[in-house]
Amino acid sequence: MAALPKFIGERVRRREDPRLITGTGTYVDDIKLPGMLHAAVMRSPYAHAKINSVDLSRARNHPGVIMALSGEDIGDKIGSLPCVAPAQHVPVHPVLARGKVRFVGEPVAIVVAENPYVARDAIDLINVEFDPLPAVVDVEKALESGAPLVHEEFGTNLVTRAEVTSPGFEKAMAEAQRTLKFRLINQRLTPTMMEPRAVLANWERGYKQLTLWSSTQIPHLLRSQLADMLKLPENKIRVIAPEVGGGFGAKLNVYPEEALCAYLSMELNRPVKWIETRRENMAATTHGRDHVTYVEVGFKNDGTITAIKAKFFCDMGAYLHLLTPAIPGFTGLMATGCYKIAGLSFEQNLVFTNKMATDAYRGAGRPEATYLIERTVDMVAAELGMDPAEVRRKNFIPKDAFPYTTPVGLQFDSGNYEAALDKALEMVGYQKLRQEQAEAAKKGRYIGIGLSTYVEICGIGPSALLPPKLKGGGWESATIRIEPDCKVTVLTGTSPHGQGEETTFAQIAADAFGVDVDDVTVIHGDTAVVQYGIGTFGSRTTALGGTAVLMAAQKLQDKMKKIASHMMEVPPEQLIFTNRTIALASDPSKSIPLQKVVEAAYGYKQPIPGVEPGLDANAFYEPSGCTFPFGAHVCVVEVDPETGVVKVLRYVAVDDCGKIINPLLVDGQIQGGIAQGLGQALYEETVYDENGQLVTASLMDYAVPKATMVPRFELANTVTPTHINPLGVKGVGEAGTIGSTPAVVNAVIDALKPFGIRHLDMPLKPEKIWRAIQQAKQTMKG
Amino acid sequence: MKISGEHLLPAAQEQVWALLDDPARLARLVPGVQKFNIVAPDEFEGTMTVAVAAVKGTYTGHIKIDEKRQPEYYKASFDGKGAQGFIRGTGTLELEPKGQEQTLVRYAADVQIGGPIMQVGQRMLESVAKRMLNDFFAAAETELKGGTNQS
Repeated sequence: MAALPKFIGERVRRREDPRLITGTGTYVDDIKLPGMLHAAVMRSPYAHAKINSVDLSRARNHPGVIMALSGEDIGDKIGSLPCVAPAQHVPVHPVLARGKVRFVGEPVAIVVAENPYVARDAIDLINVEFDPLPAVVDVEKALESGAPLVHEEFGTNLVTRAEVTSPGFEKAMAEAQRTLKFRLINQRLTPTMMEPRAVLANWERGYKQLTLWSSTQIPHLLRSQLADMLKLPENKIRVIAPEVGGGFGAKLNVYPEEALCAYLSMELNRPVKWIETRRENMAATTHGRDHVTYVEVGFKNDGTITAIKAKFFCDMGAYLHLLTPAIPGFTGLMATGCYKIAGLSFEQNLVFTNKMATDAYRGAGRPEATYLIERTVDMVAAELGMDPAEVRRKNFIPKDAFPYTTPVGLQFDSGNYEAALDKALEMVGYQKLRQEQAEAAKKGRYIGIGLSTYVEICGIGPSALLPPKLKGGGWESATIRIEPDCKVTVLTGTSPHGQGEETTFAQIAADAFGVDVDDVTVIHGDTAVVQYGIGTFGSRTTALGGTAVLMAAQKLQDKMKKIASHMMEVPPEQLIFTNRTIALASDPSKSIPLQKVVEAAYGYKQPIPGVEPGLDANAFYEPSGCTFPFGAHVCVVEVDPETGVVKVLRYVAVDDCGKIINPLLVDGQIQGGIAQGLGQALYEETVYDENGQLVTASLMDYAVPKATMVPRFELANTVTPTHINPLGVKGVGEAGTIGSTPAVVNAVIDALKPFGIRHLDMPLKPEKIWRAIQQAKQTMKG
Repeated sequence: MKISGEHLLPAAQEQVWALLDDPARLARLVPGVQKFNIVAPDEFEGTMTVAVAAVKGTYTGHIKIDEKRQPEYYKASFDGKGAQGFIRGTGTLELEPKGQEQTLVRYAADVQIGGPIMQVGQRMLESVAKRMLNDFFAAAETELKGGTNQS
């Protein structure tokens, strides 16, 4: 038999894809159970209104309707939706509104019917008497006295105010020779995953057991929260996340429909399914970002940035979802980026408004931080007339300064920021490009070059860094079984929603046991099958879940080495796994087939002293710290001054996510991430009007970039391993989104430099650019 | 949403006022009106069907004349709701004589719209409103000329 290759580091194709692209995977809506009923939700058309009455009689009498319930009918039978992150004011969050609605799309009533069409029709028969109240939509005005209150009981719309000032901040700011002050808007975004949310609940009366299929990123955490809300023991709830068609953080949550379907199934003793429509998804699945930030930067004439001061107004929406108030925390803490800036001070105002809640969205707090600091660096460069690349070099944390402690106490594990920038500039041909830009300018063409050098946080741990009320920490789990036929089963506590860990974890396990990647099956997303795990978010899968796989593999290797040692009569520490054998490290020709060891473990015909039968091992990996991936992105654009249209000419991204398990998947994550970051920079914007009506409620009005709007990417990596985990990996799921947005905006602003334009807020739509150009022309004439 | 505009009707001010001040007659001219009841002096109830983009819905509404200055001005408030959302707001009508034979009608409304009709149709709302107004004025012209109204 030919020797097996090593799989870690190889471009192994995603083993998930054949079933996904041939339509043979199973999503929640593909599951059909006998006697299954269908739910539809009636939602508030008002941003803010008193509910005077809910009349369900016509809906209940409609043929085919089984049950219809309002918030008052539910009462306290289902507990409040959870927010585990700390905040001064945490409102009760009912699964169906009671007394008052607080955002457009808030669930008011639910109907269960024999088929989904009847359920939808019956929604139209519900008569709710609303008494409209003035809505509060603007995050800053919400804090003015006299503003309508989203939750009267708190007497304010302020959720929490937090202030952090690094030691020596005042001194650092005093050392500045110049300062700049400006205001940045990081607009609200709609995560727009391909598969909207989906729930199927099945209460098996005889077993007193609930099975809940949900399109979620966190089956175990969801199970724990549902157990609380429904007052059921955790071992009587089985949550299954089958194929999940994307989430981007918005499925890192607990939603009303999950608890409602469970409750209705228990009431009716029949399965109940609810499938979210796109319009519901846009109104009632968490949004992301939505900060208004006042920045003050202190710097010297040579470009050295000494201090940054920021005041954030962060729009939380009407309720606090699972992690809503925790997300902006990353923004303040990461506001100094990859730079050695001595002083940082920030004030964070988290604010209630009459909108859908914000929560994690790809990057979750770090894109906002990166946008802040990367726009700031370019503002400083423009003010001093310096090359933005030089200002970055001047301020980088030097590569020999790691582990580096930031002014607010974060520990950066490893980094080499200048190397990533050098590589990106070399790939794009920076010097030549600047000359071309100057040449083009003479011909009346507006070319812009934008840089972004980012650093972000992944694999968040140790557990003490996670919210105290979260059941579960920063760790992750894995179980590995070697089956009697020598095939390997990996059970991972992370639960993917498109990341491809069936491939990457198989690569890790295959190398550990010297088997083929196709000998490994990775199982996930079923709480009755898999040991407790945390889930997929915060680019944690490989760094934490992958390490847990490696640790479980090592435990199992130890056991198998003991068995092989007994059979081969050599010390276990001299043995290695290679090519489906356990062999002597010094002479791999002296080996025993893995199959023989497996047979000995399962057959156990000859007891092995000190070794139990069977072959499985379990590991829970608790990280000692976070990892900090980084990179350098360069975007080249041309702006048409007649129309304001931005064309992306080139996009170069050099990302350093530590060691790479699968370069193909890393490229995929970066490409998708850049597309989303570019979407924020140029197109996407979730808009509520002054009455709190959601204007971008469909994909006709919310502009997700299409394939023709996304450029070809020129991708490369530098590899700076981390010491935090034995794989040396950092994480890459959000890096593209984090790095790209400021690169694109910096490029557009660079292109508009001849007009004297220093800043425009995102999204940089043609109309906005065109107006700015017209205004600039007027000013120039005047 | 704010809507305003003007339309020249081919009739004397008194005639136009008489039409606009006769709710039952007026209701026949508004496109999509299905039911119309006078519940009190200057207070009406009714249902009408409106299609905005893909969202066709029937709305049950209530209109109240808040202020009236014969023969030149009135102000009304309205609210309507249906499965496809709600509409509420205030509107004014002003009549200005243009000679013996013509009257200029100036209208202005401040309208709040919500629900699916807003979420799907907001880009079309203004043009739908304009079209309905045009239909209304065309019907009014026919009525004032003594023709039969088909709406």
